[in-house]
Amino acid sequence: MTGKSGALLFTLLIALAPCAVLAQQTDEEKVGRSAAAQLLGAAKLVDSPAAQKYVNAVGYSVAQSSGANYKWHFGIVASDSINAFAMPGGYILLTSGLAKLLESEDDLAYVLAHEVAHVTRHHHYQVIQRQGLAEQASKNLQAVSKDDEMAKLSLASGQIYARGLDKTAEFESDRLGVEFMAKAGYDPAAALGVLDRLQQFKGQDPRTELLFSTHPSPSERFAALVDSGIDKLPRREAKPDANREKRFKVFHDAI
Amino acid sequence: MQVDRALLGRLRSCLAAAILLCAAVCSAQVVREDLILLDKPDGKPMDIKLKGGTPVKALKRQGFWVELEAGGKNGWAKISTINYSTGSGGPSAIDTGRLGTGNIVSTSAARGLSAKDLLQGKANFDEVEKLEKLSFDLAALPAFRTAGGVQPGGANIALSAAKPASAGKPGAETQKPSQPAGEKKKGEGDDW
Repeated sequence: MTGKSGALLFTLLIALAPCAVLAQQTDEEKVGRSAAAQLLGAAKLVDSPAAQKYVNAVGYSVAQSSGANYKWHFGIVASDSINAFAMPGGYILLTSGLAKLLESEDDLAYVLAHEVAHVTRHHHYQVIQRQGLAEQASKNLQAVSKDDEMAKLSLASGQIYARGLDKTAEFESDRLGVEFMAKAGYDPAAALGVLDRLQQFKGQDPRTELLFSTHPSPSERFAALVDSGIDKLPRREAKPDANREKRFKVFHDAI
Repeated sequence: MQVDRALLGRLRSCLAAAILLCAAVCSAQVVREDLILLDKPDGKPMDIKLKGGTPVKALKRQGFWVELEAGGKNGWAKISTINYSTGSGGPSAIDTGRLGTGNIVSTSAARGLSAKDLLQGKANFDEVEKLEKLSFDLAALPAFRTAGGVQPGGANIALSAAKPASAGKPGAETQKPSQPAGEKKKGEGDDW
Protein backbone atom coordinates (compact mmCIF):
# COMPACT_ATOMS: atom_id res chain seq x y z
CA MET A 1 0.00 0.00 0.00
CA THR A 2 1.40 3.39 -1.00
CA GLY A 3 1.55 6.32 1.37
CA LYS A 4 -1.20 8.12 -0.56
CA SER A 5 -3.64 5.23 -0.57
CA GLY A 6 -2.90 4.56 3.10
CA ALA A 7 -3.72 8.16 3.94
CA LEU A 8 -6.91 7.96 1.87
CA LEU A 9 -8.01 4.80 3.66
CA PHE A 10 -7.30 6.40 7.01
CA THR A 11 -9.35 9.47 6.08
CA LEU A 12 -12.22 7.25 4.91
CA LEU A 13 -12.17 5.25 8.13
CA ILE A 14 -12.33 8.42 10.19
CA ALA A 15 -15.19 9.80 8.07
CA LEU A 16 -17.18 6.58 8.30
CA ALA A 17 -16.62 6.01 12.00
CA PRO A 18 -20.00 7.45 13.13
CA CYS A 19 -21.79 5.23 10.56
CA ALA A 20 -19.91 2.23 11.88
CA VAL A 21 -20.98 3.03 15.44
CA LEU A 22 -24.62 3.26 14.36
CA ALA A 23 -24.40 0.05 12.35
CA GLN A 24 -23.08 -1.80 15.40
CA GLN A 25 -25.94 -0.64 17.61
CA THR A 26 -29.08 -2.67 18.20
CA ASP A 27 -32.45 -1.21 17.19
CA GLU A 28 -33.11 -0.57 20.86
CA GLU A 29 -29.88 1.37 21.23
CA LYS A 30 -30.59 3.39 18.09
CA VAL A 31 -34.00 4.35 19.41
CA GLY A 32 -32.49 5.24 22.78
CA ARG A 33 -29.81 7.34 21.10
CA SER A 34 -32.45 9.30 19.26
CA ALA A 35 -34.51 9.81 22.42
CA ALA A 36 -31.39 10.97 24.26
CA ALA A 37 -30.74 13.47 21.47
CA GLN A 38 -34.22 14.92 21.97
CA LEU A 39 -33.69 15.35 25.71
CA LEU A 40 -30.21 16.75 25.21
CA GLY A 41 -31.70 19.21 22.76
CA ALA A 42 -33.70 20.63 25.64
CA ALA A 43 -30.90 20.57 28.22
CA LYS A 44 -27.16 20.09 27.70
CA LEU A 45 -24.78 18.02 29.77
CA VAL A 46 -23.30 19.64 32.86
CA ASP A 47 -19.75 20.75 32.05
CA SER A 48 -17.98 18.83 34.80
CA PRO A 49 -16.08 15.73 33.64
CA ALA A 50 -15.40 14.69 37.25
CA ALA A 51 -19.09 14.83 38.21
CA GLN A 52 -20.07 12.95 35.04
CA LYS A 53 -17.45 10.31 35.73
CA TYR A 54 -18.75 9.90 39.28
CA VAL A 55 -22.34 9.44 38.08
CA ASN A 56 -21.13 6.80 35.63
CA ALA A 57 -19.22 4.98 38.38
CA VAL A 58 -22.28 4.81 40.64
CA GLY A 59 -24.50 4.00 37.66
CA TYR A 60 -22.30 1.13 36.49
CA SER A 61 -22.14 -0.15 40.05
CA VAL A 62 -25.93 -0.60 40.25
CA ALA A 63 -26.30 -1.56 36.59
CA GLN A 64 -23.93 -4.49 37.07
CA SER A 65 -26.21 -5.96 39.72
CA SER A 66 -29.13 -5.82 37.26
CA GLY A 67 -27.44 -8.55 35.23
CA ALA A 68 -28.30 -6.75 31.98
CA ASN A 69 -25.49 -6.37 29.54
CA TYR A 70 -25.82 -2.93 27.99
CA LYS A 71 -23.31 -0.30 27.10
CA TRP A 72 -24.52 2.16 29.75
CA HIS A 73 -24.27 5.93 29.39
CA PHE A 74 -25.10 8.01 32.47
CA GLY A 75 -25.11 11.79 32.41
CA ILE A 76 -26.25 14.87 34.33
CA VAL A 77 -27.97 17.61 32.37
CA ALA A 78 -28.08 21.24 33.37
CA SER A 79 -31.69 21.85 34.32
CA ASP A 80 -33.54 23.14 37.36
CA SER A 81 -36.22 20.53 36.75
CA ILE A 82 -36.25 17.65 39.20
CA ASN A 83 -36.37 14.51 37.10
CA ALA A 84 -34.47 11.60 35.60
CA PHE A 85 -34.93 9.80 32.29
CA ALA A 86 -34.18 6.30 31.02
CA MET A 87 -33.82 5.79 27.30
CA PRO A 88 -33.84 2.39 25.57
CA GLY A 89 -30.47 0.77 25.14
CA GLY A 90 -28.88 2.13 28.32
CA TYR A 91 -28.91 5.93 28.00
CA ILE A 92 -29.76 7.51 31.37
CA LEU A 93 -29.92 11.20 32.22
CA LEU A 94 -30.71 12.99 35.45
CA THR A 95 -31.10 16.68 35.97
CA SER A 96 -28.77 18.79 38.07
CA GLY A 97 -31.94 19.89 39.92
CA LEU A 98 -32.55 16.35 41.10
CA ALA A 99 -28.87 15.71 41.80
CA LYS A 100 -28.77 18.75 44.08
CA LEU A 101 -31.71 17.38 46.04
CA LEU A 102 -29.84 14.16 46.86
CA GLU A 103 -27.97 13.82 50.13
CA SER A 104 -25.77 10.77 49.63
CA GLU A 105 -24.27 8.37 47.12
CA ASP A 106 -26.90 5.88 48.26
CA ASP A 107 -29.63 8.35 47.22
CA LEU A 108 -27.97 8.68 43.82
CA ALA A 109 -27.73 4.89 43.55
CA TYR A 110 -31.51 4.61 44.06
CA VAL A 111 -32.32 7.21 41.39
CA LEU A 112 -29.99 5.58 38.86
CA ALA A 113 -31.13 2.06 39.75
CA HIS A 114 -34.77 3.07 39.18
CA GLU A 115 -33.82 4.26 35.69
CA VAL A 116 -31.70 1.16 35.04
CA ALA A 117 -34.79 -0.93 35.83
CA HIS A 118 -36.80 0.99 33.20
CA VAL A 119 -34.16 0.05 30.65
CA THR A 120 -33.83 -3.60 31.65
CA ARG A 121 -37.63 -4.01 31.54
CA HIS A 122 -37.77 -2.21 28.16
CA HIS A 123 -40.58 0.04 29.41
CA HIS A 124 -40.08 2.90 26.97
CA TYR A 125 -38.91 0.71 24.14
CA GLN A 126 -42.14 -1.30 24.28
CA VAL A 127 -44.18 1.88 23.96
CA ILE A 128 -42.07 2.92 20.97
CA GLN A 129 -42.43 -0.55 19.44
CA ARG A 130 -46.19 -0.41 19.85
CA GLN A 131 -46.19 2.82 17.91
CA GLY A 132 -44.23 1.20 15.09
CA LEU A 133 -41.35 3.57 15.58
CA ALA A 134 -38.69 0.99 16.27
CA GLU A 135 -38.90 -0.44 12.76
CA GLN A 136 -38.66 3.03 11.34
CA ALA A 137 -35.60 3.60 13.46
CA SER A 138 -33.85 0.46 12.33
CA LYS A 139 -34.43 1.39 8.69
CA ASN A 140 -33.43 4.97 8.92
CA LEU A 141 -31.01 5.57 11.73
CA GLN A 142 -28.19 3.77 9.98
CA ALA A 143 -28.31 6.36 7.26
CA VAL A 144 -27.10 9.45 9.00
CA SER A 145 -28.29 11.63 6.13
CA LYS A 146 -31.98 10.96 6.80
CA ASP A 147 -32.32 13.82 9.20
CA ASP A 148 -36.09 14.14 8.80
CA GLU A 149 -36.73 10.57 9.89
CA MET A 150 -34.41 10.94 12.84
CA ALA A 151 -36.13 14.14 13.83
CA LYS A 152 -39.51 12.39 13.63
CA LEU A 153 -38.34 9.64 15.92
CA SER A 154 -36.79 12.11 18.33
CA LEU A 155 -40.00 14.10 18.46
CA ALA A 156 -42.05 10.96 19.07
CA SER A 157 -39.65 10.08 21.89
CA GLY A 158 -40.16 13.52 23.36
CA GLN A 159 -43.91 12.88 23.41
CA ILE A 160 -43.41 9.64 25.31
CA TYR A 161 -41.25 11.30 27.96
CA ALA A 162 -43.67 14.20 28.27
CA ARG A 163 -46.59 11.81 28.75
CA GLY A 164 -44.93 9.20 30.97
CA LEU A 165 -45.46 5.49 31.44
CA ASP A 166 -48.14 3.39 33.03
CA LYS A 167 -48.08 3.57 36.83
CA THR A 168 -47.30 -0.12 37.12
CA ALA A 169 -44.06 0.42 35.20
CA GLU A 170 -43.00 3.06 37.72
CA PHE A 171 -43.83 0.84 40.69
CA GLU A 172 -41.96 -2.03 39.08
CA SER A 173 -38.91 0.15 38.46
CA ASP A 174 -38.95 1.28 42.09
CA ARG A 175 -39.06 -2.31 43.30
CA LEU A 176 -36.39 -3.60 40.91
CA GLY A 177 -34.28 -0.50 41.43
CA VAL A 178 -34.21 -1.07 45.18
CA GLU A 179 -33.20 -4.68 44.55
CA PHE A 180 -30.38 -3.59 42.22
CA MET A 181 -29.04 -0.98 44.63
CA ALA A 182 -29.21 -3.33 47.61
CA LYS A 183 -27.45 -6.10 45.67
CA ALA A 184 -24.76 -3.59 44.70
CA GLY A 185 -24.23 -2.79 48.39
CA TYR A 186 -26.10 0.49 48.83
CA ASP A 187 -28.57 1.21 51.63
CA PRO A 188 -32.13 0.46 50.41
CA ALA A 189 -33.56 2.83 53.02
CA ALA A 190 -32.13 5.67 50.91
CA ALA A 191 -35.01 5.07 48.47
CA LEU A 192 -37.51 6.03 51.16
CA GLY A 193 -35.49 9.14 52.00
CA VAL A 194 -35.52 10.31 48.38
CA LEU A 195 -39.28 9.75 48.09
CA ASP A 196 -39.79 11.61 51.37
CA ARG A 197 -37.93 14.58 49.96
CA LEU A 198 -39.77 14.50 46.64
CA GLN A 199 -43.11 14.44 48.44
CA GLN A 200 -42.28 17.80 50.00
CA PHE A 201 -42.57 19.36 46.54
CA LYS A 202 -46.01 18.06 45.72
CA GLY A 203 -48.01 20.81 44.10
CA GLN A 204 -45.64 23.50 45.26
CA ASP A 205 -42.93 23.88 42.70
CA PRO A 206 -42.82 24.09 38.89
CA ARG A 207 -39.52 22.20 38.93
CA THR A 208 -41.39 19.00 39.74
CA GLU A 209 -44.32 19.60 37.39
CA LEU A 210 -43.22 17.05 34.77
CA LEU A 211 -42.10 14.51 37.37
CA PHE A 212 -45.45 14.55 39.16
CA SER A 213 -47.43 14.51 35.92
CA THR A 214 -45.60 11.40 34.68
CA HIS A 215 -45.13 9.42 37.90
CA PRO A 216 -47.33 8.18 40.75
CA SER A 217 -47.06 10.43 43.80
CA PRO A 218 -43.99 9.84 45.97
CA SER A 219 -46.28 8.83 48.86
CA GLU A 220 -47.85 6.10 46.69
CA ARG A 221 -44.40 4.91 45.68
CA PHE A 222 -43.26 4.96 49.32
CA ALA A 223 -46.31 2.89 50.35
CA ALA A 224 -45.73 0.44 47.48
CA LEU A 225 -42.13 -0.15 48.56
CA VAL A 226 -43.26 -0.74 52.14
CA ASP A 227 -45.91 -3.17 50.87
CA SER A 228 -43.22 -4.95 48.86
CA GLY A 229 -41.30 -5.65 52.07
CA ILE A 230 -38.45 -3.14 51.75
CA ASP A 231 -37.91 -3.18 55.51
CA LYS A 232 -37.08 -6.89 55.39
CA LEU A 233 -33.99 -6.20 53.29
CA PRO A 234 -30.59 -6.38 54.95
CA ARG A 235 -29.18 -3.03 55.90
CA ARG A 236 -25.90 -1.95 57.41
CA GLU A 237 -26.65 0.08 60.52
CA ALA A 238 -23.03 1.18 60.85
CA LYS A 239 -22.01 4.79 60.36
CA PRO A 240 -21.95 5.84 56.70
CA ASP A 241 -18.58 5.35 55.04
CA ALA A 242 -16.53 8.54 55.37
CA ASN A 243 -14.90 8.22 51.94
CA ARG A 244 -18.27 7.66 50.30
CA GLU A 245 -19.65 10.77 51.97
CA LYS A 246 -16.59 12.78 51.03
CA ARG A 247 -16.64 11.92 47.35
CA PHE A 248 -20.38 12.55 47.18
CA LYS A 249 -19.81 16.02 48.63
CA VAL A 250 -17.15 16.71 45.97
CA PHE A 251 -19.68 15.64 43.31
CA HIS A 252 -22.45 17.70 44.87
CA ASP A 253 -20.27 20.81 44.95
CA ALA A 254 -19.32 20.31 41.28
CA ILE A 255 -22.84 20.42 39.87
CA MET B 1 -64.55 49.98 55.96
CA GLN B 2 -64.87 49.04 59.62
CA VAL B 3 -63.65 45.62 60.73
CA ASP B 4 -65.06 43.77 63.75
CA ARG B 5 -61.84 42.78 65.55
CA ALA B 6 -63.61 40.28 67.81
CA LEU B 7 -65.13 38.53 64.80
CA LEU B 8 -61.75 38.45 63.06
CA GLY B 9 -60.18 36.94 66.18
CA ARG B 10 -62.82 34.21 66.33
CA LEU B 11 -62.34 33.47 62.63
CA ARG B 12 -58.58 33.18 63.14
CA SER B 13 -59.10 30.76 66.05
CA CYS B 14 -61.48 28.64 63.99
CA LEU B 15 -59.03 28.56 61.10
CA ALA B 16 -56.14 27.54 63.36
CA ALA B 17 -58.25 24.79 64.93
CA ALA B 18 -59.27 23.54 61.50
CA ILE B 19 -55.65 23.42 60.35
CA LEU B 20 -54.59 21.52 63.49
CA LEU B 21 -57.48 19.07 63.10
CA CYS B 22 -56.65 18.52 59.44
CA ALA B 23 -52.97 17.95 60.26
CA ALA B 24 -53.89 15.38 62.89
CA VAL B 25 -56.34 13.55 60.66
CA CYS B 26 -54.22 13.75 57.53
CA SER B 27 -51.19 12.21 59.20
CA ALA B 28 -53.17 9.35 60.82
CA GLN B 29 -52.01 5.83 59.96
CA VAL B 30 -53.39 2.48 60.99
CA VAL B 31 -51.58 -0.45 62.61
CA ARG B 32 -51.82 -3.50 60.32
CA GLU B 33 -51.65 -6.20 63.02
CA ASP B 34 -51.31 -6.47 66.79
CA LEU B 35 -47.89 -5.21 67.81
CA ILE B 36 -45.75 -4.19 70.76
CA LEU B 37 -43.87 -0.92 70.48
CA LEU B 38 -40.11 -0.81 71.13
CA ASP B 39 -38.21 1.81 73.13
CA LYS B 40 -35.94 2.62 70.13
CA PRO B 41 -35.25 1.25 66.64
CA ASP B 42 -34.45 -2.44 67.04
CA GLY B 43 -34.72 -1.88 70.81
CA LYS B 44 -36.52 -3.53 73.72
CA PRO B 45 -40.28 -4.12 73.91
CA MET B 46 -42.22 -1.55 75.92
CA ASP B 47 -45.44 -2.03 77.80
CA ILE B 48 -47.42 -0.61 74.89
CA LYS B 49 -49.51 -3.10 72.94
CA LEU B 50 -51.54 -1.97 69.95
CA LYS B 51 -54.37 -3.91 68.34
CA GLY B 52 -54.52 -4.22 64.57
CA GLY B 53 -56.51 -1.32 63.14
CA THR B 54 -55.49 1.11 65.90
CA PRO B 55 -54.99 4.62 64.51
CA VAL B 56 -51.50 5.95 65.20
CA LYS B 57 -49.56 9.02 64.29
CA ALA B 58 -46.20 8.52 62.60
CA LEU B 59 -43.80 11.03 64.12
CA LYS B 60 -40.36 10.25 62.84
CA ARG B 61 -38.72 7.77 60.49
CA GLN B 62 -35.25 6.39 60.94
CA GLY B 63 -34.20 3.93 58.24
CA PHE B 64 -36.81 1.18 58.29
CA TRP B 65 -38.17 2.21 61.69
CA VAL B 66 -40.88 4.70 62.55
CA GLU B 67 -41.73 6.34 65.86
CA LEU B 68 -45.45 6.09 66.54
CA GLU B 69 -47.74 7.94 68.89
CA ALA B 70 -50.85 6.18 70.11
CA GLY B 71 -53.03 7.28 73.01
CA GLY B 72 -50.44 9.74 74.23
CA LYS B 73 -47.64 7.16 74.31
CA ASN B 74 -44.69 6.86 71.94
CA GLY B 75 -42.68 3.89 70.74
CA TRP B 76 -40.93 2.46 67.69
CA ALA B 77 -42.02 -0.13 65.13
CA LYS B 78 -40.93 -1.38 61.70
CA ILE B 79 -42.43 0.74 58.91
CA SER B 80 -44.31 -2.23 57.48
CA THR B 81 -46.37 -2.54 60.68
CA ILE B 82 -48.44 0.47 59.71
CA ASN B 83 -50.53 0.95 56.64
CA TYR B 84 -49.21 3.95 54.76
CA SER B 85 -51.90 3.63 52.12
CA THR B 86 -54.63 4.66 54.57
CA GLY B 87 -53.01 7.90 55.67
CA SER B 88 -53.75 10.60 53.17
CA GLY B 89 -50.79 12.55 54.46
CA GLY B 90 -48.41 9.82 53.35
CA PRO B 91 -44.80 9.80 54.33
CA SER B 92 -44.51 13.55 53.92
CA ALA B 93 -46.23 13.94 57.27
CA ILE B 94 -43.32 12.17 58.93
CA ASP B 95 -40.26 13.92 60.19
CA THR B 96 -37.29 11.90 58.93
CA GLY B 97 -34.87 14.00 60.89
CA ARG B 98 -33.20 15.03 57.64
CA LEU B 99 -35.87 17.15 56.09
CA GLY B 100 -35.94 20.89 56.20
CA THR B 101 -38.14 23.35 54.45
CA GLY B 102 -35.25 25.59 53.48
CA ASN B 103 -34.34 23.73 50.31
CA ILE B 104 -37.79 23.98 48.82
CA VAL B 105 -37.97 27.20 46.96
CA SER B 106 -40.74 28.06 44.60
CA THR B 107 -39.45 29.34 41.31
CA SER B 108 -41.33 31.09 38.58
CA ALA B 109 -40.23 28.66 35.89
CA ALA B 110 -38.07 25.60 35.59
CA ARG B 111 -35.21 25.88 33.14
CA GLY B 112 -35.32 23.08 30.58
CA LEU B 113 -37.00 19.69 30.37
CA SER B 114 -40.59 20.74 30.79
CA ALA B 115 -43.14 18.85 28.70
CA LYS B 116 -43.11 21.78 26.27
CA ASP B 117 -39.32 21.69 26.01
CA LEU B 118 -39.39 17.98 25.25
CA LEU B 119 -41.95 18.42 22.52
CA GLN B 120 -40.54 21.54 20.94
CA GLY B 121 -36.83 20.92 21.42
CA LYS B 122 -34.53 20.02 18.55
CA ALA B 123 -32.56 16.78 18.75
CA ASN B 124 -28.92 17.36 19.60
CA PHE B 125 -26.77 14.43 18.46
CA ASP B 126 -23.54 16.29 19.21
CA GLU B 127 -24.45 16.14 22.90
CA VAL B 128 -25.20 12.42 22.55
CA GLU B 129 -21.68 11.87 21.26
CA LYS B 130 -20.35 13.69 24.31
CA LEU B 131 -22.52 11.48 26.54
CA GLU B 132 -21.22 8.35 24.82
CA LYS B 133 -17.65 9.41 25.47
CA LEU B 134 -18.39 9.58 29.22
CA SER B 135 -18.65 5.80 29.49
CA PHE B 136 -17.00 4.47 32.62
CA ASP B 137 -13.96 2.22 32.47
CA LEU B 138 -15.18 -0.96 34.12
CA ALA B 139 -11.64 -1.81 35.16
CA ALA B 140 -11.86 1.09 37.61
CA LEU B 141 -15.11 -0.06 39.19
CA PRO B 142 -13.73 -2.44 41.86
CA ALA B 143 -11.41 0.29 43.15
CA PHE B 144 -14.26 2.81 43.18
CA ARG B 145 -16.49 0.46 45.15
CA THR B 146 -13.79 -0.53 47.63
CA ALA B 147 -12.81 3.08 48.25
CA GLY B 148 -16.40 3.91 49.18
CA GLY B 149 -16.99 0.81 51.29
CA VAL B 150 -19.62 -0.47 48.86
CA GLN B 151 -19.75 -4.22 49.44
CA PRO B 152 -22.11 -6.54 47.55
CA GLY B 153 -25.36 -7.01 49.40
CA GLY B 154 -26.03 -10.61 48.37
CA ALA B 155 -27.66 -12.21 45.35
CA ASN B 156 -30.87 -13.34 47.07
CA ILE B 157 -32.25 -9.86 47.69
CA ALA B 158 -35.80 -9.63 46.35
CA LEU B 159 -38.94 -7.63 47.02
CA SER B 160 -42.41 -8.98 46.47
CA ALA B 161 -44.54 -7.49 43.73
CA ALA B 162 -47.22 -6.46 46.21
CA LYS B 163 -50.09 -4.13 45.46
CA PRO B 164 -50.07 -1.62 43.91
CA ALA B 165 -46.81 -2.68 42.31
CA SER B 166 -48.48 -5.43 40.31
CA ALA B 167 -45.80 -4.88 37.70
CA GLY B 168 -47.40 -7.09 35.09
CA LYS B 169 -47.75 -4.54 32.37
CA PRO B 170 -46.04 -3.37 30.39
CA GLY B 171 -42.83 -4.64 31.94
CA ALA B 172 -43.86 -8.29 31.91
CA GLU B 173 -43.49 -8.39 28.16
CA THR B 174 -39.77 -8.55 28.45
CA GLN B 175 -37.50 -8.87 25.49
CA LYS B 176 -33.82 -9.42 25.58
CA PRO B 177 -31.80 -6.90 23.65
CA SER B 178 -30.59 -8.55 20.50
CA GLN B 179 -27.04 -7.38 20.90
CA PRO B 180 -25.19 -7.33 24.20
CA ALA B 181 -22.66 -4.62 24.73
CA GLY B 182 -20.31 -3.34 27.34
CA GLU B 183 -17.72 -5.92 28.20
CA LYS B 184 -16.76 -6.32 31.82
CA LYS B 185 -13.12 -6.05 32.64
CA LYS B 186 -11.27 -6.70 35.86
CA GLY B 187 -8.36 -4.74 37.18
CA GLU B 188 -7.17 -1.79 39.08
CA GLY B 189 -8.56 1.61 38.26
CA ASP B 190 -8.50 5.20 39.32
CA ASP B 191 -7.61 6.31 42.78
CA TRP B 192 -10.89 7.27 44.39
